[in-house]
Formats: sequence, C-alpha cells, structure tokens
Amino acid sequence: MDWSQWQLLDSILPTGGFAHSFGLEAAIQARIVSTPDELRTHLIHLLENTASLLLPFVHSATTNPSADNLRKLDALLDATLSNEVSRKASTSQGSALMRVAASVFTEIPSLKTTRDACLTSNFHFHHAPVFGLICGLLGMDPKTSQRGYLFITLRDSISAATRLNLVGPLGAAVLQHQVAAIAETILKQWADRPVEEACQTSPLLDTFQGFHSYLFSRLFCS
Amino acid sequence: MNLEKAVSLGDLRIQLSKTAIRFSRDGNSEVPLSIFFFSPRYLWCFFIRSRKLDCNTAGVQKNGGHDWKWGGEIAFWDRRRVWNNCSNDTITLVGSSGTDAVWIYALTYGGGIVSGDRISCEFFVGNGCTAVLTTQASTKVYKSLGSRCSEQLLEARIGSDALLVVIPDPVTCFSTARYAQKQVFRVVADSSSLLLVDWITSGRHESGERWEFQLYKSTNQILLADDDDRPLFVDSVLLEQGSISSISDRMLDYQVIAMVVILGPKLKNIQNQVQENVKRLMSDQLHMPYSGVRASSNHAKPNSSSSFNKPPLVASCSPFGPKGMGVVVRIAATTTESVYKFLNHQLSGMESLIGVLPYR
Repeated sequence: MDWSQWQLLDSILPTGGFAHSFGLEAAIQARIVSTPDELRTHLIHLLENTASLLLPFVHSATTNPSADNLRKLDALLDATLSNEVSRKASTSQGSALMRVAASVFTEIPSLKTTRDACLTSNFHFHHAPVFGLICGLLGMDPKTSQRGYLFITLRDSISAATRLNLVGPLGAAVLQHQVAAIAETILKQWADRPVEEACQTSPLLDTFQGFHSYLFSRLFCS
Repeated sequence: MNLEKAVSLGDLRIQLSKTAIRFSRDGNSEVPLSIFFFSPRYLWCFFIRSRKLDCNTAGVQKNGGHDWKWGGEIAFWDRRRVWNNCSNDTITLVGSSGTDAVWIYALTYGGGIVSGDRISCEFFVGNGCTAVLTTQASTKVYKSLGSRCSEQLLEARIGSDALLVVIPDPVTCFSTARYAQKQVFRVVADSSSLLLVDWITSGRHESGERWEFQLYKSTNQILLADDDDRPLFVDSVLLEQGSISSISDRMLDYQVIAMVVILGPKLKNIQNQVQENVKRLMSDQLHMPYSGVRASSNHAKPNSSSSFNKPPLVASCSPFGPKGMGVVVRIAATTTESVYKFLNHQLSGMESLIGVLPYR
C-alpha cells in the first residue's frame, strides 16, 4: 500500500470519526454492554452488521467511482439508513471525509470536481460510498477498500470503548488484534455483494443506535 | 397438514375502491384459499371461500340499499363464519361513502407455512379508502425440507388519501425453517398513509426453541410511486445461522424483535405520540449515571441478580424521509406478551381510523 492509502486509513486524518461510538455508548447506558467480553461480542456483531449492510456500497463505489453511481448509492443508502442517528453519523463523516480528501489528494482533480458537483444537488455524502469512491480513485482494489472500511469501523469503535472507560489503551490494542482475525473472516463472507442484497444481520444494533438520542448525558454523537 | 407436499397458492389480488372490492386469483390451484373480510363500521362479516375458480375476477357492487348477498351478524372476535350459498362470488357493501375500513384476513392453512410454499399477494387500496391486512394467528413457518425456502411476497399500491394498515401477528419460524418475505409498498408522497408492523419471535421459546431456525429474511420497501418508484424506506433484515455468530448470539437474551413504520398524513398524530412515548419510556430506562464501568468489571463479574440486567423491552424511534414523512420504531423484548402490550398501547390512536383497537 502506498503513502496515500496509509494516510487515508490513519486515525489522525481529521474526518471526525472519533465523535461516534457506533451504538456503544447507548448499549452501555442500557446495560447491554458492561464487560470486556460483552464489548468483544458487541464489536463482532457491529463488524458483521457493517459488512452485510455497508460493504456492498463501498464495493460499488470503488469499482465504479463515477459521480452518477455515487449519487445513486447515496440516495439508496439514505433510504436504507432509516435510523436518524446512524444517518446523521454517516453523512457527517462522509462529508468531512470528502472535504479532507479533496483538499489533501489534489493530484486527483476528480475528487474536487465530484465534490463540487454533489454539493449542488440533493446529495447527502454518506460515508460508505464516499469512502469507496476515494479508495477507488487512490488505486485501491475493491477487496482492500472493503477491508479498509471494516478496519476503520473497528478502529473507531475500539477508540470509543477506551474513552468510555470500558477497556484500557493496551487492552484495546490487544482486543483490536484479536478481533481483526475474525474481521477477516467476516470480510470473506460479505465482500463483493451487490447493493440490492444489503441487509442487517444484527437488528438489535439498529435499536441501540436509535436510542442514543435519548441519552441524558453523552460523550458521543452516535 | 401434509408436510411433504409444497403448494403454491397462486397469486391473489385484492382491489379496494370506494365502491367495490374486487378480488381475483390467478394460477390454477386445487387449494382452497380463504379470504375473510370484515367491515367494523357495519358490524357485518362476510367470508368467501372459493375452490377452483373458473372466472378470474368477481365484481362487487356497492348500492345504497339492503342488498346483502352475503351477510350475517357477527361480533368482531367471535368469528362465526357465514357461508355463501350463492353461485356467483359477489359481496355487497352496504352504506354510503365515509371512512369505512375493510379488514382483510388472508388465511393460509390456519396460519402455517410449509417448506417451499410460495405465496404472493397484490393489494390496491383505492383513493380515499382504508384497508387493514391482518392474520388470524401467528404465522408459523415449519421446518425446511431439503433446504427449500418458503417465500411470501406482498405488493401494495396505496392511492391518494388512502390508508393501508398491516398489523399481522408475529412470524414464528420453527427449528431449521427457512423463510423469506418481501413487502413492497408504493405510496403517493404526502398523501398515502401506511402503518406497517413486521415482527418475529424466536420460535417455540417456551419449549426451549430459541432462534433455532436456519434463515429468516424480511425486506420492506416503501417507494414513491409518483417519483419513478424512488426508494423512501428500504429495510432488509437477515437472520441466518452463521459460523461466526449464531442468531441467538446476536439476539442476546431477546426473544422478539419488531419494527413499526408509521407514514403519512392520516397518521401524523400517532407518529408524534409514539415518538414522545418511546422517548419517555427509554429515557426512564437509561437515566442512570454510569461510572467507571471498567472499575466494576475488574471485580467479580456482575451476576444476573445485580442491577446490571438488560432491560426487558428496548425501543427506539426515528424519523425518516424528507420533512420526517415517516417514523420507524424498532423494538426488542424478552417476551411476546410485552410487545403485544406495547403495540396495543402505542397504536391505540388507530381505533378511530380502523374501527377496532389493534393487538388486543
């Protein structure tokens, strides 16, 4: 992988991923997740659900990084993310990522032109298609871009877990490595599927994500 | 019930307008199909049972008089059946226009779906009409034979100022069952109204069968008919036994999951009420400050009698679509009974629209 691809996956890229807990904060306050074991389970279910629901969008955007396809994927994902909390998290991350990528990877003019074209239309900048698009334009193959999407999901949710005091930084690193092996299996099962087959495999996660907005005090946006 | 023989019940089509109910059935099947109509406004009930249909459509005329070709007095939950003795399959609705709602029960072998069964229904709810689709009992999906998957397809078109209410009992898939359903609703933006309940229980959980079926897939789509079928709401849930985690793992201790979609101008009040109710219900459950979760888990693992029990019912409510056209409520619970109560309570506002309280 080259420098641009590493930079895209680095958590230091200012895309605001740190503001989201992927339903973890709500799950903790509802006493669904309280122990490191339950966290591990939650992470695996989160990765599976992300894979079944969002990888098809990443795949499609990577293999067909045209503005037209992006618009179609964006509209479909907006109807699919019926949960307002997830929807807002997706659009805020996606628009931040698009803005950053257009500014950083200036050697790819289509990033800026696509972004400008999308700003004028009824475009939501959902995260998964935008991520797939950028990966595709940076020369990543679809398998790598889908793996990358699972990677950043794992990275950000584990980071949220440490800030929610569920696990310490070293424990988090150990957990991330353990779960990574499972993530690869999940990738193999769910990669390269068409968007028509996008589905949720852990509907409970959607329920937990949904009541994030009922939390009295919270650290995260979602 | 013969579990060996998979049957196709053919395509059923029902069309409700202000003056008529038309029903037709394509396909040539030996199997009797029962459709049970009820109109609460008139407290009448009519039951049509047809064997091999020679004609495809039966026209229904509404007149202002007392011309009941079929009729009988029936209490809603009584279910005394009225048999037709007429040679032509017609029903007459008495009464003038107004918000009369027609309830439709599609009865398939007493609520059971056998491995390999394929059922498809098409409903047209005419402008200004109200139709209610429901079941007589929970839909049971029996075990799959030879990995065959049972399928149900429902396509509905809801006209302007019309309301479709889909309030079935939950689906229960038995051990090793494979079942897929797809429901597509075509609506007119800001004009059609839809209440959709889609739910499933873990199986015969009182006999210990919890999430032991092989596959359950439910896809619900709401498309904007006047905008080239643009998707407004797309939801697909797939529960399949997997190598990484079993369905039971993913469901934690919950035995029932449900989804309720409330959309359209006629349901605006209920929409707002449900959003408020769910928020209040869950805020009570969540309003407990948590401190250093890690600190407590370093000591003895909390046992089930501690205060760290999962809530027996969790729900969340979320608007979707432009200008919050609709809301979707997702529920997970440890008992079926609690979800019935929840639905009955949240949908109590429906009584004035459809004549009866749903989920009593």
